[in-house]
Amino acid sequence: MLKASEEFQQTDDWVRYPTNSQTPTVNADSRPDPNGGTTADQVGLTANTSARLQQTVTLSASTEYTFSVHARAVSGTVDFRMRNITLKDAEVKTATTTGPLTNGFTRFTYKFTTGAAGPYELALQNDSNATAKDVIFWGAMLNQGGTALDYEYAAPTTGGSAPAPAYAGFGDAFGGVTAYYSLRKFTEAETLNAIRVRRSSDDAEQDIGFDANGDLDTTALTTFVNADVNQYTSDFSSTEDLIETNGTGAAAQSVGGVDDAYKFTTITGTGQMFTGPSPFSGKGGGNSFRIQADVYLPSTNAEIDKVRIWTGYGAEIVEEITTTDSWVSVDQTVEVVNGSTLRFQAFDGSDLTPTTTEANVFYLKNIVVTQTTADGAVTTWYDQTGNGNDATNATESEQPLVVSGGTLVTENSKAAIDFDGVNDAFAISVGITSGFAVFGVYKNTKDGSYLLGSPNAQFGRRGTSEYRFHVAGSFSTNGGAHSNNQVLFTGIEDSANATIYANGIQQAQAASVFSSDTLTLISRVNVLGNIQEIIIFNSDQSANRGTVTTGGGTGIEGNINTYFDIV
Amino acid sequence: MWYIGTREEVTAYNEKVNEAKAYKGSITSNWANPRQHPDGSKWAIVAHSTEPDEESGLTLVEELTEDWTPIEAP
Repeated sequence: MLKASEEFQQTDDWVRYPTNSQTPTVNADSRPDPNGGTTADQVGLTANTSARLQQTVTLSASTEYTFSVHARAVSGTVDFRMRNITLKDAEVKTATTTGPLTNGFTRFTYKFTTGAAGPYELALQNDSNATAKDVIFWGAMLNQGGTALDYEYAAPTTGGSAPAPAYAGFGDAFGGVTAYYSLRKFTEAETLNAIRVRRSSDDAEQDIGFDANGDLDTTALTTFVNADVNQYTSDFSSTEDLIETNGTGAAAQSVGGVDDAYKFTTITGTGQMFTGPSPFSGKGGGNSFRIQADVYLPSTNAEIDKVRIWTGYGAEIVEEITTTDSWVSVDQTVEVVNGSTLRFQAFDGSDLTPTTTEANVFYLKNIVVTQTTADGAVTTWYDQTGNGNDATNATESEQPLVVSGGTLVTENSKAAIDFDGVNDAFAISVGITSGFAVFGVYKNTKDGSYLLGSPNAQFGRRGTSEYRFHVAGSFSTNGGAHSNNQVLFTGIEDSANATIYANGIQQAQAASVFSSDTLTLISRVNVLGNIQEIIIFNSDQSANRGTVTTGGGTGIEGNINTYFDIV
Repeated sequence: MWYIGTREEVTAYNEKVNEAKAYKGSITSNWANPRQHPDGSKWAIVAHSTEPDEESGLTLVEELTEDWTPIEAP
């Protein structure tokens, strides 16, 4: 089923990733093979966890297959992965020089069972330690069943072209990335998470990954953030826990044929008279709550003839009860912006501040408050390269939002992370040395705040509304008029000069004597706006920067613009 | 909204909020980081909407004034 079983150099069958840099090498027919010939290929896997040779095959549904390959190390031992990229599954294999087959080869096998019928991408891939290594491959094969059948040669494809991958991320095109923070998937060859999110309703956290298109899995994100969370359930069978104003409460009351109810008794006098829990404390901000309650209003009250259920703010009224001498069930959803308490408030007609001549009463039971939307704060923006440079913030008030009031934050129709311009930021620790490059997609309207920074470094928007690419004592590049819209920011230090580009257009350049620094912050001095992607190379990317054209472009900037559609 | 006071006062306020929140996520563990005024004379901390300062006498302000922003290198 696989083509080119001994010709790993045939790129129409074995596609090499990344495609533009750190691409694996294949030295064809350069090594002795298990048959005593010299048809084995030495494959150089680059220092990149997603470096791989990949072939697409069309398979049947719900069928077991065995993928096999002969391999040996050049010296010592070497780890590689056999992977079904489509199934997001892999096994690590260790090749040696002393395998049981002729010339020290071992035949490695990897079994998997398909889901739906269709194309599947199989790969021989670097393992997860991302060191460059040479592996000698020969005789790859795929057959149905749970064991590898006797090896049979399969010729390469003649004519045609290499198949397009199901998804090609930035990391499938460009190698050597030091840190990659994005809301799009870095590579199809790894199972990755984009962010870790804390929902405001109960502070629970969850990792969020990507959908089949390589976009942030916004369905999983909003499902998690907006999951129903109970904020209050009453139990008045023996005690009551409501907060009364100008009145008193009592549990375990019976009225209208119902036991274990709560009874609110007003003062005799003038004032706002209400009772209730505080389920919205710190949870409002535009989020929605389902309010359920049973209310009983006696007709024997001297003055109180209405119970309003609300938060105390005029726009946040749940319902008004005027029916007397029977239990009324309420089930409404309300958006809470300002309120913290759920008030059951006594009215005399429309009078919010009634005067009572005697104790008036009403009864409550079965109060349930369920939060149905929330904010989603980003606690961790994962470095998808596997280099472990995750961006984090453990402090609640400094975590930017990816869901606000239950709604996904977007910029130009794609998911974005919203920084408040006050104190939102992430801590990072990414070393850079002379010859480095940074790329960022963001919108920032606040002067004197930076996409990236350190105590020495400021990459972003200068206090004078210019672009700024600056490391104190090393280079200070300032110029152009910083956009107030989404922009592709590029800063490249090539050991001689430091240059800023915005949307592919050079803004400023200055000489550099930069040696080294460690970037410590995303959103230094607190960006006011949205960030969608940050890519850091600790290597000069002048040759790969490319161009930006409307809707696309070439090189790194073209890749970014094609996805985010900035220009 | 921000509270302004001494370092000890804002630190105590933060600890109070942390106790009330009892964070259960694996990452989040802190309400806010106190911020020192550039002249070193006072400290500020973000006020929590449901945890008012009722004891230490912190001053509540809507926003921090511009003098709280550190002066960046030219």
